[in-house]
Amino acid sequence: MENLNRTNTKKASSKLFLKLGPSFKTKFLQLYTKLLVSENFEFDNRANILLNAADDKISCHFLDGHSIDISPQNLLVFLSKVPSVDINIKHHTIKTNALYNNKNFWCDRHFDIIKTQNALNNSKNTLEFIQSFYKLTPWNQFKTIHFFLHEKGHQNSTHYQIFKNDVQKVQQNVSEFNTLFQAIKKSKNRSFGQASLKASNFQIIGTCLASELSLKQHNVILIFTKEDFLPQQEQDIKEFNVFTTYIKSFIDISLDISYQKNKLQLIKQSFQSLPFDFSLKGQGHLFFTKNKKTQLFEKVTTFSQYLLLTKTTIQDKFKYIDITHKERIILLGELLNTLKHELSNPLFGLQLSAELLILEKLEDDQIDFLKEIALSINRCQAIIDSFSNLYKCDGTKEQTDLRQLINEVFTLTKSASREINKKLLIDEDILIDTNRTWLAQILFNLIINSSQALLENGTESPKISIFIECSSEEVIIHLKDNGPGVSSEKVKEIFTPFYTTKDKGNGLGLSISKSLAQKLGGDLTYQVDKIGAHFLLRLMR
Amino acid sequence: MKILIIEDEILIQKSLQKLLEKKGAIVDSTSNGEDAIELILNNSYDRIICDLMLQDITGFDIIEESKNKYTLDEIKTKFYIITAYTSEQVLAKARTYGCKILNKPFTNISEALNEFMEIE
Repeated sequence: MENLNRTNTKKASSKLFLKLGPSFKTKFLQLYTKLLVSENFEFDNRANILLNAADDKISCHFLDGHSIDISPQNLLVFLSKVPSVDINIKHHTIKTNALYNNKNFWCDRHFDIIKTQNALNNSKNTLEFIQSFYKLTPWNQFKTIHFFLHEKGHQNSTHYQIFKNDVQKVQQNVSEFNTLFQAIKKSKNRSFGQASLKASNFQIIGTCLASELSLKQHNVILIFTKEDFLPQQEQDIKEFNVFTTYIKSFIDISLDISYQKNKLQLIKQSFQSLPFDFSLKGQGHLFFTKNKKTQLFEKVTTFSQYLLLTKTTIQDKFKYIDITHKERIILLGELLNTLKHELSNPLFGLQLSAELLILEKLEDDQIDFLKEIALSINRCQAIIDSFSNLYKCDGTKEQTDLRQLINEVFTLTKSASREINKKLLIDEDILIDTNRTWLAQILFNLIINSSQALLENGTESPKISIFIECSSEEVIIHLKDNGPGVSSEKVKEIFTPFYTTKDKGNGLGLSISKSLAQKLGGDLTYQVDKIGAHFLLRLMR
Repeated sequence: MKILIIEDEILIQKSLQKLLEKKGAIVDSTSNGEDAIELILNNSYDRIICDLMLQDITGFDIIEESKNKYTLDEIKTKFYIITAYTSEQVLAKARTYGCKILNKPFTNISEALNEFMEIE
């Protein structure tokens, strides 16, 4: 979460300092909702807004780095790099206004907007969405909402009368619609009497609050009425002004949604044709799993719900494999480098001191101890060196002595495979041109997997043996153990991502190993033997 | 033979000192770069074994300051840089001074000690 200070840095060179004016609220709310419902807005960022509101500052921080900060107290607005939204904010002298001096104003608005967003997500169509307005104060006191909809360029327009429990639809003449639209637009206040609107033509009873909205592809008229003849309350008029400003974007989206049902179908189909298995989860539900018997995809009923799911679940999940894994490897490399430097120095000190003491006139057994100390220190240094060799991050190939590499990996897996008898059966030195890091990773993964399976299974005299088959063009490294092995039905699955039989496994080891093997120009496969697991790692020479 | 060891890892400093004293040298040592510069300017050493990474300044800074006392040729023969750094950048810079460089940890300790004791 970035704080206000960030916007004060040199980077925010397009800062504008503006004094709050009466039109500011309007503009801000428009901007706020526009960005709120745009694709760049992350749900989490909304929490940031709440936090800052408590400190008397409202900040909106968006994914693409833009931000808006407002401090009601000092009445300054910082706008930094607002994306493609036209903002014409005029300079006004500051007027005292009970509404915006009230700290809670912003918090309340924010909650309303969240509620509206939720209502949008939960409604099947625009009418349902507008019906949900009855849940907001003070619209719950109103009796009828008239919703006039005209798609630009079309001959007809429609008039919906939306009650709390019912919706009625009437076709409308476009010219009548336009007359009403213009009448509302020209009027300076939002409160209308029956006469001023020629309301009886439209079955509007009593005084009402009316607003005209020009959307992307539609023109909309929104009229709220209590169906009485009393003048509208000041508070309600103010509230309505605020409301219609931000509801504009939402109505636009909901109209968009209704027209996007086909798109949803297409997307569902395209998901089904993805060449891998996956699970789509969101909002606590499992929505869809591919290639499994349960297909709960039908739980997605609205397009915006769908957008939310696709953004946060499927994309993130697969990004997770690629990016996070790579990042982890790079981070690990850096970490190991630092570790190597930090450990090498004191280890060297220990080494020198041990050598020094060995030269002193001491008892024989004391000298023996010192010699053991020196050997342990050498082993530590060797382990550090092995790790450093293993994590060179580039994809370059070099001549590698397989015997040496496998022994190095044995050293690294020593603690995981403590009681296991490991044998490397190869008579000669085999050199191949390959990437040490990747090869070591594959072997490391295979040996760890075997060790864990052997230990968990409680196999008696557990054994891992590696032998190498050579031909002129390739080598095959066979890794066998005498553990439980893998059944022939499961063989296909073990190389798939997220397949694991372990509680704490992430299920990525074998799938990554297989893809590394393929990157090396070979492959990692499994052969079903009578006893134990048998992996074959084929590599080019 | 008078030797100065500049190394901030205490175990390394003290063991090297003892090992060289056993070989008959007179050894001063310090872990502080500023102190090292003072010692260099106020004494005459046959050999200066200098670590590159110290707490306050770098070994390179020390060599630069020694130019106030020694000629470039003398720096070449007297200074012995010991370092854990393996990066090309650092090694290249060290080579510009022309003195010998030894990587920590030493692959062969007795060989290293003999080299330190050699006067050219």
